[in-house]
Amino acid sequence: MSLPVPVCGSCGRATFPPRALCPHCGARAWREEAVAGGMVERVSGHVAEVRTPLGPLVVVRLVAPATRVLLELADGVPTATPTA
Amino acid sequence: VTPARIVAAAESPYTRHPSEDVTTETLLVDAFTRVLAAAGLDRDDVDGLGVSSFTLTPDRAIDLAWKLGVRPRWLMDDGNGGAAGIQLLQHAVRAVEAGDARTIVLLAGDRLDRSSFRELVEHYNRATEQWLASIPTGGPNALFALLTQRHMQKHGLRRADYGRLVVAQRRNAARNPGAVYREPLTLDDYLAAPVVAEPLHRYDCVPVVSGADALVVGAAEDGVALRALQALHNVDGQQGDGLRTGLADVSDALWRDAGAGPAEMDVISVYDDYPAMVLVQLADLGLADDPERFLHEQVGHVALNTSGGQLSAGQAGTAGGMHGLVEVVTQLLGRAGERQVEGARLGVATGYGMVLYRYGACANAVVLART
Repeated sequence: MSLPVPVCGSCGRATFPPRALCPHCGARAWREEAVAGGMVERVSGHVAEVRTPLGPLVVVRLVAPATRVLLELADGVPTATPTA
Repeated sequence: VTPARIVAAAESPYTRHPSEDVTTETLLVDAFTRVLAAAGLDRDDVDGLGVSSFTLTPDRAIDLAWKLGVRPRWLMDDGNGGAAGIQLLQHAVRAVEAGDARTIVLLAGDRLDRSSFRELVEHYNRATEQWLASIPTGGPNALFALLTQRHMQKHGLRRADYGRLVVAQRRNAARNPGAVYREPLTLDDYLAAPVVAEPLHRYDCVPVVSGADALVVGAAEDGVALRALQALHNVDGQQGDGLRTGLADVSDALWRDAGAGPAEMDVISVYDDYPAMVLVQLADLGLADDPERFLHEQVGHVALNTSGGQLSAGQAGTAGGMHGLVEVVTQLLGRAGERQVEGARLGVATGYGMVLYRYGACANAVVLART
């Protein structure tokens, strides 16, 4: 259970969603890092912005109100579920 | 250099529920006919055509030229939504000045009903298709709900503060026969409206309409002159908070080129997809450094979004990016009827939009002057 976040193979900075060239250094060398969870920053209805430990904010479907969440792609849907 | 002037502006009336025989093409053709009549020109005078539309597809500007019987020496499509009106103007003015064309018609419009609007917002770009549509965010409302929460927190604003802007724009719409919502709106009505996406309620969101806007840029001495135009798109790569557009970086250059300051603007059109974005752009331009003070002391006293803006007149897809421009030009030409700002000589209009992932990436602005 995780969300794939692109990390630049040159400068090491993360970005989401994927870009063609790294917004920070311009390189075109990506690796993916599996991000397991993050902190909810804002919520409107079932839509939330979650801060990942790598830096980027991710827009997700929030399954239930929570501050700390697990992140995953559930049938292609960026999804956040409360940590147990 | 040949002087280029905006010699006419027109709008094909916005409608909330278009009939079956209305298409994006008929709307654009109607705007074309209206703007030529306003300019006192014939179809055969036109040697340039610029088009912006989400829903004209698979047709492009050349298809429309064919249908209209126009033989353009200058031809352009611009699909960049809320920024497209000013983008087209930017290129058209340079083209006339350079002698590439003498009479350019710029058109922007869309037919949007429930299903085509849904289609548009779910397939707005690839990032939306892949990362947002399945959540679902229901188009941009949820994203701007999050942005408005940030704006409220940053400036200590409450819903009632934004309501002052929405109510004032509705008062303007009462004097615009082309606005789809003209009946008075009270602050209580605003506050009691059903929620769309917290903290956004019904009157914070533009009514989706069908319609089209048009401008004529011609080689002429008389009309409305472009004093200054600045744009800066994708300023932060969607990695900021969305509470600052590219205008913040270019506003000094805009006012320098205009030879005038923000306080000298007689009429102001700011792209109003959501109230918070009006305040963000006004701050970027130096027109409202303190949003709370602006809302309480200046709203209702400055000529801002005099058509009622998109919040009351409606948002006809990409026409939303030309609507404010058409209003400023109409005011500067002295043709705004009951809502005419007396003696309007200088005006500013902004474009904003194209939500890539979290907020709009495009921003541009133009200062116009009556000659």
